[in-house]
Amino acid sequence: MNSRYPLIRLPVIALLGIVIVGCSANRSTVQDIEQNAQADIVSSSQDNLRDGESVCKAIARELSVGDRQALNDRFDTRFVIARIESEIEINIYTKKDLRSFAHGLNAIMPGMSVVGEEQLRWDMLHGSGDGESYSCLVRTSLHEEGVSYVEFELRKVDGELRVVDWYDLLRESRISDLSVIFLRDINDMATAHLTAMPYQRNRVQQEQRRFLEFLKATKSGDPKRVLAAYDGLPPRFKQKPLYMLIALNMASMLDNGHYMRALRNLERRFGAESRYGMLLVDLYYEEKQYHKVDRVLRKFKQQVGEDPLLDLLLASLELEQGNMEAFYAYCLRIVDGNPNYLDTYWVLFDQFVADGKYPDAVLVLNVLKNMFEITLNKDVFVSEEKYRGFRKSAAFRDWRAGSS
Amino acid sequence: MLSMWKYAAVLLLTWHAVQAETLNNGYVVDSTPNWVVERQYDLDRPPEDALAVQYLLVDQQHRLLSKVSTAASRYFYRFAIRLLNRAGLAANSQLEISFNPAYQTLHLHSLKVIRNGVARELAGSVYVRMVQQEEQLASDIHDGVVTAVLIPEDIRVGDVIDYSYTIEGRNPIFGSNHFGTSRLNFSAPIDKLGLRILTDSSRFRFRSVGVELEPERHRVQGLREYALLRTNVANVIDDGETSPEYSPFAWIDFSEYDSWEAVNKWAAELYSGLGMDSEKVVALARKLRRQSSSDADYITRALFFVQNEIRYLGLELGENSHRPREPREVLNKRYGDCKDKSLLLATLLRQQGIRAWPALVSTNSRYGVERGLPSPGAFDHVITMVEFKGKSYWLDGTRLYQAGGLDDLGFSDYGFALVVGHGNASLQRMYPEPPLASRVDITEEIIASDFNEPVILKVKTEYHRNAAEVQRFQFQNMSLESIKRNFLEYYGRFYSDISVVGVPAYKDDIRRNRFTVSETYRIDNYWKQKDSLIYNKIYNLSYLETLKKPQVRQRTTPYYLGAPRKITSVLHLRYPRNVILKLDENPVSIENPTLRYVYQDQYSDGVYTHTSSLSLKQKDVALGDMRSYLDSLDEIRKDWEYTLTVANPDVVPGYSELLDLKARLKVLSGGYHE
Repeated sequence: MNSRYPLIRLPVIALLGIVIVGCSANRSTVQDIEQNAQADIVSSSQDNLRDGESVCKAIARELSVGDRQALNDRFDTRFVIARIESEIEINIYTKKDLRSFAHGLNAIMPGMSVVGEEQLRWDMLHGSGDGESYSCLVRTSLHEEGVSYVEFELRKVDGELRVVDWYDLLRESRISDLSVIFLRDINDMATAHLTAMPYQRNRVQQEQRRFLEFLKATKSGDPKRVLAAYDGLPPRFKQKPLYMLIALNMASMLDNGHYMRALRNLERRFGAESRYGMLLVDLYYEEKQYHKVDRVLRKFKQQVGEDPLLDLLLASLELEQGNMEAFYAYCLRIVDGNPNYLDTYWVLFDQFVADGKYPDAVLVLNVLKNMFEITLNKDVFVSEEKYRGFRKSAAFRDWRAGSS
Repeated sequence: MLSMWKYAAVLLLTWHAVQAETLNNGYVVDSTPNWVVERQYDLDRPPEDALAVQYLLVDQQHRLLSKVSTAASRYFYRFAIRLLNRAGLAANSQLEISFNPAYQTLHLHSLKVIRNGVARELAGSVYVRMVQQEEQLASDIHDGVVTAVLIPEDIRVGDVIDYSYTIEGRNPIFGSNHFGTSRLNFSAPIDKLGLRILTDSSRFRFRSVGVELEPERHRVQGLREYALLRTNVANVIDDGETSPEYSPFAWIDFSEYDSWEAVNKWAAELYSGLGMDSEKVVALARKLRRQSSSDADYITRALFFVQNEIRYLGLELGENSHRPREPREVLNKRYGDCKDKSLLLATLLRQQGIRAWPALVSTNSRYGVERGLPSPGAFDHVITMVEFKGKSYWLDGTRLYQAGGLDDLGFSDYGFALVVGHGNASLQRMYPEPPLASRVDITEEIIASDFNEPVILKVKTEYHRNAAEVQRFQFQNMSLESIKRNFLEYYGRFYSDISVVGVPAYKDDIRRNRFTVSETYRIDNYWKQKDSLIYNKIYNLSYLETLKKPQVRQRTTPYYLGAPRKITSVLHLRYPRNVILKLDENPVSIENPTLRYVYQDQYSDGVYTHTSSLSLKQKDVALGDMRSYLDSLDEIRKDWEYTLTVANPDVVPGYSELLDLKARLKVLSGGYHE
């Protein structure tokens, strides 16, 4: 049930994996210090918010490090289950087909912490609430896997703030909404033969088999199998956003061709609905419909609020169109508001190198080195062809001499 | 608490009387006239509240005959007061009765001190000192009013003082039409309050304000009798800080004038035909015209001549309390009071074909004039109304330190004016939409060369209209050293280590009526450092004197803020170097029916800028708006004192490089904005 989609691939972010050898994670950065300063003058009326904020930060940290045990304790499925039972009018634990789903719900959240073999980075963006309930917006991003925005809904249960539901901003759906739809379909399919007329039974049994295969394929996590099963689903399921988005998710794991086909399929069916705009951004980007990308990003930014990643996506969009002043203005805006958002510096570094602005590239390296205490593998600049001009420059030689 | 003696004096200043009469010691002792009805009061009535005095009786009876000489007017007063404690004793141990001997006589009928039910009559023996106080002398007004100060002996706490007197006569300038006003409650409770008027006139009209009352009407010995009697009159708790028109006190007006037009007609007779053809006035008008570049310029030249070349001096003796002197005489003597100046100015303007009239206004009642009955007593000041290019201008010949063009002049909004001899003879609203009386633009710049060094604070304040005139007065009447000390004292309340650099400099732009003051200070220990952070306090002092909370917040009357005005403020803090300062740069607006306050924080290139402006839209905070006003004040005051925090570039690793990168990005972005 994860909902991560590639989103405007940032060409330079790949550097993250190449250049960083080590990075001190516990060191105070400029932004941390300023946030502490702000905290000093926060009025006491906001004290009661700190509980919720600290819980959300802890969840983001646990998601980032994949602490499954801790995450299991954070999540309370009873509220979602109760909603499912209330809306479908069933006792979920008396239904064999549904019982496993109920148990599976508990595994969803820990599962959000990884994609494939890689750990995801989770950042808490904003939070609000009071002593009894709290909601916080969390962003996850992993360079090649795109981004996801989730708003956790926390309530005080037995004296502890626990996640009782969450809202996926890209899908514009809550986990409880999706669960109700999904389980209603499962329940309907499981009992369809009981209500079918004799002449319908063959068709019903065939649909049941296909639906069951889709469930099994999804559980296997094999994208090809899921897509094949999706193709075999009855049309009334294939046209539902829930299944279409599962297929889209799987297609994105295969290759660009599958991904674009899935996106076009989504656009044909739901292109007129603005709520899926963010999911279609990659398609618009591929088709160089930059005005649509810009419109969708800005609209989404209004929903999310301040987020350096969205600004960086807008910066990259400007860069793609050759609007250099706008690109640098966006970067400046991020550096102003979120000076320790690391990705910005990599994007800038790559662009400075590409433009032959070598002293500026060195300036960025110095920020990375001094502010983030990042140890840079200088050999990368020697081995990578794209750095040939840079490594021959006086700026690079001076920097290398000075930092050796 | 209003002293009854002062109250009596107020009445007397309002009701003037007849002819001068020279008497021994200026007053006579005689018995109560037989037209007065004696009222009884309860000597044993216990006081209701723990106050300094208990008013057992306040009685006013007037015999106002229109068909005989003004000298026949009689104003009888009687007060019975119990002194409840030492404060009451101290405040009432001497009795003051004011009258104008030019046309009035004081008759003292009785002065009894009652102790334990036993009365001592002291009227014949009491020590009386006649004092010509000339209370308005400080304002260069001589009104000839004399105060009889009665000093009875052996007065003690618990005594009741019961005294009565009559003032005989009234100012002949008012002719046969009587008018007056009488308060119906005080800041202390009154057991019994009476008002009775005997008259031969059928034109008397009454209007009570603050309480609905109508006098009873009777016939007594061929005269008409109007009588009011109030008992157990509760005291009034005055909120204070209230416009005159919202006075919490109740009163009743009586007048023989049936309209404001009738009052205008009375005034027009005093002002008509005076000096238009005087050679001296004509010559002065021509001279001023030669110096003027336009009609508008002529108007202000004439105004400034009357303000600055004619010294203010009010010899308001006898009829001259209301009758202006001829402009020729004023020019010869080079002094005059408000009505003299107003008439001279109107005459100078009319000489050059500019439509101008004297205009009667009330500096005390202001908008409250409209609530009362028409009478000459409603006004206490005269200004000049000019109609020019479709606009009305209200010019005051008694103001000093004015400058600039017609639309730059400071002004006072008295609410309503009676423009003498104007086609619209009724009360006129001076400013249907009051313009801004004042504007002040403040620019502060804090310049820092290093986080370890003192900062320089430069303040430049530009004053417009009324505010410019106040500053012009200050700088012309105080030494620069005194002003410097006052300014330093003011800033010293906020910055403990502040010192002045030089003396304040000023620039007086009399062409536009703008007055600019520049100050420079040095502030030591401005920056506070803790760990890797640097703090500094920002004080936005521009509104400190303007936006105040009322002393009484649970009010029964609107809170008076003063004339609508605007203040703008810009503060620049120049950091020693580029820093990272996270701000919400969106403008913030706080608005309600009373005020509008807008502010914005910005940071760019090492300069933090705070801009703000305050517009007071109304002169009063209405009762229904008080909650929102107080709430907005709390909100606005958060913007008056706050702390800015930045990371110390010398302590945080990579900070300097980050600043360099930001500076570079700024160049590369070429000023691009979304």
